[in-house]
Amino acid sequence: MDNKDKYKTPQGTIAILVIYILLIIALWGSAYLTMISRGVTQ
Amino acid sequence: MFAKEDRLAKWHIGIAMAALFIGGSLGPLQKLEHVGINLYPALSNIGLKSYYQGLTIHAVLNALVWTTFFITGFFTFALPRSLNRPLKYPRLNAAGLILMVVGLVVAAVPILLNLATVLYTFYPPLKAHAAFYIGLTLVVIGSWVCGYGFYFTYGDWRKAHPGERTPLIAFGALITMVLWQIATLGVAAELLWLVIPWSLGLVETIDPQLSRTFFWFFGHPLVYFWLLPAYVSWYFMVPKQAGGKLFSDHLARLVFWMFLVLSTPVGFHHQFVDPGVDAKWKAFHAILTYSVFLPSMITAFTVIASLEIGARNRGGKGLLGWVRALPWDDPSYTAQNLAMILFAFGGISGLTNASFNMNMTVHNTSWVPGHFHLTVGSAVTLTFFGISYWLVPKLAGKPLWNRKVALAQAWTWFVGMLLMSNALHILGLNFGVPRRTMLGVAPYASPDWDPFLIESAIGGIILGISGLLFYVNMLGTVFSKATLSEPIEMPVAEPLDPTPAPVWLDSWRPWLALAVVLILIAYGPVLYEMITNIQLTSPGFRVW
Repeated sequence: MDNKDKYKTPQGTIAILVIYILLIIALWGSAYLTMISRGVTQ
Repeated sequence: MFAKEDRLAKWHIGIAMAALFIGGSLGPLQKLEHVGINLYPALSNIGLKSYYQGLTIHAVLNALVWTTFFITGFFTFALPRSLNRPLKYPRLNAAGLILMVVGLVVAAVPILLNLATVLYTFYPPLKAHAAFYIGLTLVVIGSWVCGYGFYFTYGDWRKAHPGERTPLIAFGALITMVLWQIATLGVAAELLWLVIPWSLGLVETIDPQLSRTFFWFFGHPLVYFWLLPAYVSWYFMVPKQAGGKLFSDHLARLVFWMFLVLSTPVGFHHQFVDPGVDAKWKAFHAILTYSVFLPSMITAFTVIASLEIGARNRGGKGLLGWVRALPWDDPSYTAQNLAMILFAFGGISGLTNASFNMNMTVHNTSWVPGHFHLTVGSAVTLTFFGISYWLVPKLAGKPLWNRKVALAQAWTWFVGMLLMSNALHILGLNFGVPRRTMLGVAPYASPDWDPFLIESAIGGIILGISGLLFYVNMLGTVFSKATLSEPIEMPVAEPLDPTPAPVWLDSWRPWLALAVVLILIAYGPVLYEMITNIQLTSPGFRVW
């Protein structure tokens, strides 16, 4: 891949989105664990 | 060429900002009450009778009036310029504005007289003065009329440009207004058929379940009515401000169509706890709610990629180092980028709301205002602030009064909202702290809540200061004696790939048909059952 193609591929964007997906998993998982620990599903 | 449009836009945006000033001023009072500092008695001699009246004013003015007036004003400015033609019937748009203003006044009077302390969702059987509902109806009808003015203008453009793709800003604005037309059918049915006759005393009782269902037919796409104008700016304007181009015209168009199709048939995720809705329909709406994640993630990709192009054009290097090369010295850009970051967190809490068992835990807790202050209070409002930083100078013909103050405003909003929403989320999830409640006098309040209530109050005060900075800058700009050294142009991002989008991405009929069919499937059987078995059982209650 030459420099021109690297420029066109938004690699930084993909990196940010990977971080965001991990953040979603972490925060959603944290909320889920909190819910379980409260023992409340009514 | 656009003098009439600009005059109308000034009125829309001026009224929007006045509404936000009043509504926003009441926000910190709620936070202070929660930590035991009750300022409401001190305000009783100016007519504020209670916490709940203040909460109603805060929510109605911020969530309904600020947003609707700003959006119609922004589009009145941007759509004609995008199509490069003036409004076809400016008097029609003026009539729409007048209807909205009359409706606002009619609704505001009972709110201010403490005759409509029913909060912004106005769930029956809470019963307000009829003028409140009639006024809200007029605001909605006025916004429809503004939309009709846009459609006529677009129709003329289409005749003059057969085969051409709709310019992107106009495209986004038109879909937003059509989405609004569809969504408001729900609240129109609720108000005109059920609530107004009941509030006028023509019928004694009401069906609260059916009313709520009509409300949430409207209530969730309302969120996208707020968000899509922010998306118009993020997709089609901000990349230009960042020195870049729109990464994909095609993906952008697809996303707007997906929101048109998917935003309405999801309302039952607001009614997971309602006993009168069969579980299979709740599950169907939950799945559709999750499907909205797809256009949201496409948006994240396309907008960030557009910014990356801009940053690299500005000399940015590295996998993530380019972020530093974005125009952080431009308050319009900075406010909108910070709005995007806050929205990313709002999206995560939104996914939690959509999850049935998690929703059972956070429903009606402070988690929910924590969530929507990240969406409408940040993604939307902070973006509208960012737009105002170029739009108000453009309309006033004056330079922005103080760029540093504007930057400080954007960052203080960001920090204040992080603190407040973080605390509200934790209070709701960990402690089940109720929303819409005067917590300072709640006998069940726990000392465990205190650190987070204090954090929330600090966040609310910072937000109040940030709001003041915004208004100082807006007034300073409008009343400045300085003149523009060079004209301000509406930022318009060019697509990276100029290849025209395929026809199916610029055709209304298939997408509208899909939207209608999906709504009929998702709501038709339930509404049929509710209407044929209507339960007009509840009288009205005034609990304030």
